[in-house]
Amino acid sequence: MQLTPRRTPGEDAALVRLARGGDEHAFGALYARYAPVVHGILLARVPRHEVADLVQDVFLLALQRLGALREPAAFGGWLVRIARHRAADFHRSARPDVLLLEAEHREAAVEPVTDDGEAARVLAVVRALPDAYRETLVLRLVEGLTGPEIAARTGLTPASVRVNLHRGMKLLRERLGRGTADA
Amino acid sequence: MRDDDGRDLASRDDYLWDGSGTPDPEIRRLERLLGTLGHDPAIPLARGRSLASASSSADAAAIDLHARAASRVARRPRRLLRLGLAAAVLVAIATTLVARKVTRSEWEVVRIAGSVERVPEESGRRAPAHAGALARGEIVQTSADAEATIRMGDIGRVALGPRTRVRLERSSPVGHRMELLEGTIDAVTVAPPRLFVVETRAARAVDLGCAYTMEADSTGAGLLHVTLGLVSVELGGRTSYVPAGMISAMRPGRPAGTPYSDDASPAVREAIALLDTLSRVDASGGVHRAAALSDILGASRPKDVATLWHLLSRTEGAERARVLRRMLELTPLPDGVTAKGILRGDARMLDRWGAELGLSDSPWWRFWKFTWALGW
Repeated sequence: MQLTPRRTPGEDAALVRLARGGDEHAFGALYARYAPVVHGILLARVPRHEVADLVQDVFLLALQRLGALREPAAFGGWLVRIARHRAADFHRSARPDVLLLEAEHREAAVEPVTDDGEAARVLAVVRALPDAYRETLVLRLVEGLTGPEIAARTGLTPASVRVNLHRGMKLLRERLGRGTADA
Repeated sequence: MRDDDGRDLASRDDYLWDGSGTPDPEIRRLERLLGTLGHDPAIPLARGRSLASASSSADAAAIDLHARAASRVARRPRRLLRLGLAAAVLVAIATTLVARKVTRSEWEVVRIAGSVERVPEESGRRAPAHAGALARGEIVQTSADAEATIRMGDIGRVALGPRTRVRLERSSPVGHRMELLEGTIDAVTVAPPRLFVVETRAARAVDLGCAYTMEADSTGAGLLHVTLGLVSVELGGRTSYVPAGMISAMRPGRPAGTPYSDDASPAVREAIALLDTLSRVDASGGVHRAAALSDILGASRPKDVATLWHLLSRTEGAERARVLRRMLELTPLPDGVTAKGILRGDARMLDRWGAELGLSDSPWWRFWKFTWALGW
């Protein structure tokens, strides 16, 4: 797996300032840099087939509100909050039958009901983990970010991310029924 | 830092933490497996070059969103041109609309024939329909001998057949949404993809630039028949891409139906319905599924590859191998897609093959939507 290159808050700040001035290239660069983070946060929370649209919504909201961001260097954490809110909004407004079907599919992880078999089954198990673990694990295992990158882009401390990764992975191994040689 | 058992994390989790140290085989396996579900960085910039790779400061200035969308369309393989000149005309019209920054988004009843009623959301009281703007939440319903036409801002029109009820959910420059409560609609749009959405109780139809007929009963059960362009039907973790000349069934509580050609025989239609509804794990279901699959594969023609492509992701193991074998007799694998990858259900390879067949809402529309929404 190719892990994504590290970026600095200073680069973000410069891009945000350019984007505020209407520079679409700068926003395109921010999109490229943060799309995996937003995608992962949403994938940890909403039905997979909804993620692409919601990623789009998050960036639209971000672009429309960019002028209200006080500290450009804090773009990452701010965007992550928008993504989490958007996921919560989705669950508040989603039609009950859609959520019911999704819940049934999550519980029936034995038979893959989404379109990619084993990967979907394992993702369903990850998504059933506690909040802190599932988001961190999705960013690490699905989106390919490193622990330091997850910390830098989500606003969590590196220590928290490391603990979440470790405990989440341990729990995931248990739930996948593979046990571990942790001892 | 220590784990729950008081042991030092740094000495044990280096690979999980930052990819350094000795790779953990289980984590590597999960990375490979789950990595197929991650954000696809291959957002079109130009073929063979991703936005991510171009986003270094040196390259960022070269990004031109408008040119990217245009070049994507222009660089698609020749086979996509088979989607028809009509689709290109729609794109051109939509591009023109973008260029002049469409602002009219309100819906209007523009034609009434027979007994048509409107039911405003706030009062809930039926009244004979009159031409004019519709409010959010308002219902329009036709009687057995009536029809009506609604203009959706500047993006198109919806014709309501007899015994039809629709409700306006949303109309704005960045999205139009209506619910088909029951009956039949004919929709024609000239909008960027995904701007117009129709929901029923069973499914969601997302317009990717097209014309189609949708019929549903009060439970949401019904059919979507696309006559121009492409529509995606989304429900329950499954998306069906329905191109012109194909039909997709909508069933309450079931994922979106596998599309089939509108000239498919009754036997093929029945076989597809069986595959869509029979369990893969139930023994007797398995026998019937095998027979149904034989019927579908035996009758498949080159124009049915869209059906087979959908079946690749709706089958597993031996069933998937049968579908792939037949599909390869009808169309070649595109670059970057392997039979092995398809057999193991690699999502990106399936998507790539679908995109080559024109069955995709590839990410270029997302940038288009940015330009649409923000007037760039």
